[in-house]
Amino acid sequence: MIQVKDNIYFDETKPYSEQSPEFLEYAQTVFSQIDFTDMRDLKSDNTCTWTIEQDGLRFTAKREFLNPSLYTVKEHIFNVEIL
Amino acid sequence: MAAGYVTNYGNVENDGLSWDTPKRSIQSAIDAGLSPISGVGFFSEALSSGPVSTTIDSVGFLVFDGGNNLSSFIDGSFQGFRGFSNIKIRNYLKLRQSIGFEVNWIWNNCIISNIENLSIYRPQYEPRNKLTNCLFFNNSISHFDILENCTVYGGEVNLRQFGDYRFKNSIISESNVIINPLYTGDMKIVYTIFHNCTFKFTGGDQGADETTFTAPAGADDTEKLEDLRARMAVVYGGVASQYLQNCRYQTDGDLFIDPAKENFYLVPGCQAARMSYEAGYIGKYPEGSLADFAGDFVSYTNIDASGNIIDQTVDATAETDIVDLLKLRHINSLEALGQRATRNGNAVNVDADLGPAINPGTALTDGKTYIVRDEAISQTASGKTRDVGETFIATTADGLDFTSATGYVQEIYLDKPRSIELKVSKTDPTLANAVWLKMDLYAEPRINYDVNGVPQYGNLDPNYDEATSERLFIRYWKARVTIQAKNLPA
Repeated sequence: MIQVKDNIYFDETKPYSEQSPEFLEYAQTVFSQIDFTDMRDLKSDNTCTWTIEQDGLRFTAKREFLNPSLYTVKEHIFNVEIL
Repeated sequence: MAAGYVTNYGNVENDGLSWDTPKRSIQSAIDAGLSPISGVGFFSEALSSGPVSTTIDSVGFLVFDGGNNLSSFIDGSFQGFRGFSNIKIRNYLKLRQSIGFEVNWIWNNCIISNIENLSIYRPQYEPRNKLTNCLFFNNSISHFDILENCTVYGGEVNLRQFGDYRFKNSIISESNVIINPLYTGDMKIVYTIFHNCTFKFTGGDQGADETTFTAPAGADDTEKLEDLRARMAVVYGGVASQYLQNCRYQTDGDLFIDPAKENFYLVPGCQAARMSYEAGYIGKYPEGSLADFAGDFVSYTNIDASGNIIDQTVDATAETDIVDLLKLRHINSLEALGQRATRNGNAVNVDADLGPAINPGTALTDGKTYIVRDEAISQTASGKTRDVGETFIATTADGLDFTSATGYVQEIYLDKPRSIELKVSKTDPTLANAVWLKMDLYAEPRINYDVNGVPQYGNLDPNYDEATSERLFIRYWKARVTIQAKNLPA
């Protein structure tokens, strides 16, 4: 477990969704920096991934689209790992 | 923050700022920072939070249908979501509203079904709103903190109790119920009907947690309720009488007309009073329409030898304004479930009658409907002078001012319409040439349309032109209303 900021800890042994509420709130502020409308990296399998490195952590948001042209998303996947 | 608009007819390039330029997906509106988002149509997408807090509402018919996890944003992020209202969500693997740091989130008038893992936590901060007027059926509910004026049918439901949160005025039917409180000394499950349920009480501090679902035991429903209370006292301590106050257990009889067809109208005459959810159908009575019901409900004649009112059906009609469904290209089905009458709230009655009579002389409340029977003097309402002892229905709007010292006034509830008639057109906003189509809500609450939007019951509009139609108009709902009345006090 590493301390990211005051009262905010990241437990690398747990998946993202099971991190503490304080960390998830902090992570959300990081993910909110992503411009999800920028889909230049859209792959042929209809997935697109955005990455932010901040505070010693790599934040990854991935979307699997049902139909990219309709902007419909099948699944959102969030992940955080230590750099 | 700008309001957003989404329909199945929109596209990505639109700005989503009006019904003339709607977005195609809810997610695209979220990412554009729009809120509140109004939607019409069917959506199968998963959602994630965006740059602003978002409220999603329907303007008539919004369905999230199918997919993996509707709400990955709920799992992983705590801003960006404030509420759902007037929508249907169904057929998802997972839907989770976390504790979160949002305040004042709202789930209201939603119908949520067939979710394999559904959990809705209470907000962390005040005001701790709200999970109200919703219908849940055939879900596996792993966590509920709060439940008011809701109906839960089928599946498993885990009621997790936190301090001052309450489960009240609700119906839980045909479910496996887990009671798993965080604070065992402060159980607040009140005014709730449990109907044909099994129970497992866990999370107690007496070392006596139950490990299997067990139906209550007893010769009748009263004994079964007492059995549940006794089991709770064993698991959580204290005395049996402190649990499930003003609740009711019911074994026999169906509460709903036909749950298999998603018809959750209450069976006329059942004790569960009435339902309140209203999502999932296209047209709704606009506010105030009930005032247009034919002025004076007919006088009761169905009074038995003991002077008790028995159920009485009254034909009444209301005409709505035109409901403009905007640019919804085609409709899979038109549903009219969940319509209700005079007020919100589930108002479960645990007694055979409607509860204690309002004391004579008590001021009546505007907007409520009352059964009135005066045993001493005549009353005047709706321009009619009633005979002594006559029973009738009136409101303060009818001029009712009940001050007799020897009579009875009791609030009543109007049941939902039995059938409706409607006109539909895709071409004529005036509906001048449209014909009536009657729907029996008890028998078949839907009008099915094919993929081109043509109703299978027949083309309602002889001028219907699929190629040119862009909007759908509905006008005039006629309702036949059943008034459910229970015994007045002797």
